[in-house]
Amino acid sequence: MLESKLTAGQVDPEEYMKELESIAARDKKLLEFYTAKGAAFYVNFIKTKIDIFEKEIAEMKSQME
Amino acid sequence: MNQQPSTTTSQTKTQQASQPTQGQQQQTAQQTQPQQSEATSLALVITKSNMAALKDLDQSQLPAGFTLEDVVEPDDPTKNKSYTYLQELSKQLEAAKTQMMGGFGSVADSKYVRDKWSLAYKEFNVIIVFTRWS
Repeated sequence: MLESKLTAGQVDPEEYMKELESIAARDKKLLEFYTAKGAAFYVNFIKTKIDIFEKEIAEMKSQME
Repeated sequence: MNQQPSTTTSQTKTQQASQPTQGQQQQTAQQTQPQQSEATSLALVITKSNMAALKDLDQSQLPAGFTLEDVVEPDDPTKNKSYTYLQELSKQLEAAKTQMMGGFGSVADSKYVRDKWSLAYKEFNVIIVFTRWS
């Protein structure tokens, strides 16, 4: 849980960004799966979600430079 | 990272896009529009009805490294600790809840959205603490 990590001081921006990248990478695999299954709503959902994650990752990277 | 988070936000473009247009020639089409389209226009909100598309999945069909829950509920707020994502999900779940409580969608969908919104809101607040702390 993020909350317990916060209490223990174990979360930092780099770790947070890696988690975002990990989720985005998994979501790209899900996009392939949903596309193959023809689950149109899920395809739309996961594309939107990936866009949100990638936008946040890009913003974080630009701020860290 | 995003700063100045707010828990009282205006509607998103996606939500605005779900509003009916005011053109007279579209009035008839709006009146006959299926109720389900109101809820599904919210891209980040997966309802019980949406899950029906994947109801026949079994373990052998799942992509490697994914559970059935991962595949059917990729919107789980507890597994998506992104500030921006949770912010958008909270807004869309709130809009979906309002729609469903207003008569759109099924009782099961309403309960599902309400429960997920509660989770998203809780996780969202945790992320706010995180962003301020960092």
